Amino acid sequence: MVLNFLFLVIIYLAPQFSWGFSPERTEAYKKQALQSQLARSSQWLSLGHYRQRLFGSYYSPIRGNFFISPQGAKDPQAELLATIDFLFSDKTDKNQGQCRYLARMSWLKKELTLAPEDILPCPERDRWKAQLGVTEAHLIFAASDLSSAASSFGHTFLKFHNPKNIGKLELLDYGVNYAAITGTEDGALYAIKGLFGSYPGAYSMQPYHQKIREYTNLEGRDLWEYKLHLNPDEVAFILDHLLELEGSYAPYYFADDNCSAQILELIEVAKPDLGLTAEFHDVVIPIDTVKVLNDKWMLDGEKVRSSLQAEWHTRYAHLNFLQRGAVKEIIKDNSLSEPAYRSLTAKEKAESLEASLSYLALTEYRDQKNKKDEKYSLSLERAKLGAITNPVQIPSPKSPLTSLDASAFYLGIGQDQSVDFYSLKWRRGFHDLLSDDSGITPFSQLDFLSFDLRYRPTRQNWDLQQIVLLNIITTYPWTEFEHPISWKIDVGTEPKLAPYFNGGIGAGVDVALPQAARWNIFAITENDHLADDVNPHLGVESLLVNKWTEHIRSLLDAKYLYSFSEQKSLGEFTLGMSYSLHKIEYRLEGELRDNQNSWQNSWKLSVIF
Amino acid sequence: MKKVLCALLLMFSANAFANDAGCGLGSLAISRNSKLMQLFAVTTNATLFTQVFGITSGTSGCTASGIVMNDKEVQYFVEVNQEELSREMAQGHGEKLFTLAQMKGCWKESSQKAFGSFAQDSYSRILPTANTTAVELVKNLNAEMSSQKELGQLCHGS
Repeated sequence: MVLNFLFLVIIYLAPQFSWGFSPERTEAYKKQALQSQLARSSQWLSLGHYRQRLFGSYYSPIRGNFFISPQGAKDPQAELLATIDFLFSDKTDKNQGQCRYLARMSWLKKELTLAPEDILPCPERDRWKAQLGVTEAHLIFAASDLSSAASSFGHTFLKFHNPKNIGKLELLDYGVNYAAITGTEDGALYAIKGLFGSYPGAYSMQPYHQKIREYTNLEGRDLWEYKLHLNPDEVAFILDHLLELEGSYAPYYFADDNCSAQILELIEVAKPDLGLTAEFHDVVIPIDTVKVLNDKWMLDGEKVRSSLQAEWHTRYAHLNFLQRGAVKEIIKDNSLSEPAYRSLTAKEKAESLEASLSYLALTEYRDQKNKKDEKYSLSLERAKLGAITNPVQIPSPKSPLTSLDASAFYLGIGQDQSVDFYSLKWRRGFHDLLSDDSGITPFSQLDFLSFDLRYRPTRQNWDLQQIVLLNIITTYPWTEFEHPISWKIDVGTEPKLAPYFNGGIGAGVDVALPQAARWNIFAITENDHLADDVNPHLGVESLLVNKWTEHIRSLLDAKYLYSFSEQKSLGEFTLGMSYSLHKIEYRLEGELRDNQNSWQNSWKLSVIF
Repeated sequence: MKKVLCALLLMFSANAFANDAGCGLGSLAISRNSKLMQLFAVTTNATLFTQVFGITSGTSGCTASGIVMNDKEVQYFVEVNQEELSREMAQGHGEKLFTLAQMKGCWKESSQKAFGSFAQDSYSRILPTANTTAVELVKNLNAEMSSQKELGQLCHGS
């Protein structure tokens, strides 16, 4: 009885003791922090997203209400001291202090010897976190859009898993995404603003099924899922830190301060000593961040979620000749009374309807056309046929982890018009038509920033042969249903610093010769020596790329160009063969130019690694 | 800071959304990347309807503090995935459909298959018109399910 009474008295009085911070203790905490040099610990630096400049000074890209000290973004120590003041001060509203900076607080609890009465509860935040119930984090890599070379860049975000969501309920987990908030801008302005950091980047959270819809349906991209090696405490710490970032943003740069850079920094908050971000110096390519995490043993298991586009391709490939005819009728004429469809068996009809429905869904997303009525009548018809089909097994594409390293060296020897040369080339990214295309968009090229130097023994000097700023070739195959445009663009300097601009638009078809091949025809323009007199060439190009086996590829290219100002024509033929094994590629390229009755030839043998 | 506090208040007023009007996702047009945008969208990671992270946002009637409310989970899921769901209901199987089955208490694979066939059989009643809304879909689905004794036994707690 007496004990109970005493207990009640203590309980009753406890809050009055604990909700007064003492200035002396707060000063002592600051002293302790200074003595143990906490401001320079990797954990504090990662919590502030600090990066070190060349001469040792720090800066953080985070803007908004994140930093407490006015110098916080540049001075980790000032921010740490301001934090201690803020967390343990009576002047601060209690929700604004320790509950505002959960991760900072939970770290300081470990680093400082805090008096128990200085630690406040945050019931609202605890309830919120309990509702989310997160114990695991997954890294999600959105692979490139099959039909867009530019998206070779990829995208990464995190998925927070609640163990309550077993089985199929995992779709109810939450995805945390870092993205530029762009508004409704489109096209070139979007690109330019994105490159120069005019958009704010911020985190957002949505149910994973919503992210799936966005990526696999709207953007036609496969999603690759990897479980991250983080224990529940580390995951909780990341979540605490995300809550701290509420209301903050960082300028979003497409190239370096992008989604993947921020996601890496987020993982680094839980694993500050892994040195993840230290691996990146200029451009942060999402797939490279996945590979770095894999190299550091941070990833476990791999699962792919195929895009709607892949589903449609698989469904169509499985149809027989009659069914394909029926699908064509259904889609073009929106009719189920045509002879081709009516002649099918019930199962064949069901499969044709399912294929048509996935095609309509795809075009609905892509072209933003309302196909509700068509889809509805097909769905009714399909439902009537009953349970007679099996789920389609979409063949798993090659893991993005097997893809080539983005940057590479090319060492080569060759001859140009009987003059020997050695060549040294470096590319920042990404791949060209002859590269191994595992895990990337097939039959495409995305080359940015490459430098090609040549040494000619006869002249005994190194010379700049070519700089490529950007060289993209995007080819889309024509099918019975779609007639998309293929295009190419190439900007750089050659020879030396003489600027050139080449481009083309055209069309292509896939031929199964012998395994996979794509043939394209382009209308092209080539313009070199742009700094001198402009002398545009117009012409046509035929480009055939074959994949003979998993390791062997070839390229056959023929161009005919005509200059109206000079009134002369020229032809150019290129042949390339490439063999790759264990991420090393051997390549032989030959070129023949017919320049007004004089044939010039060159060849080059290179090793790429 | 004010926003955070407002959001915390929102958490407690979650019941304000407890009507059956759906989650209002339909009003959020999802933007497609135009061809031109694709050309430039090197990292394609811009979403138009970005919900600022965490507890400040309760954008649609189904979320509070950025988390979908328990009693609205089915509604929200159906609104987001309606197109996929109606396609999968017509064929009688599919990931989203089986997820919905599990949300409706069908935990076993066999019961999810049974749910798939049920949805296929009842297609024209669950989706009576091409313009059936997500709210109607959920209502019709519940009505149809309540008349299915066997399925009810297979899928507990539905």
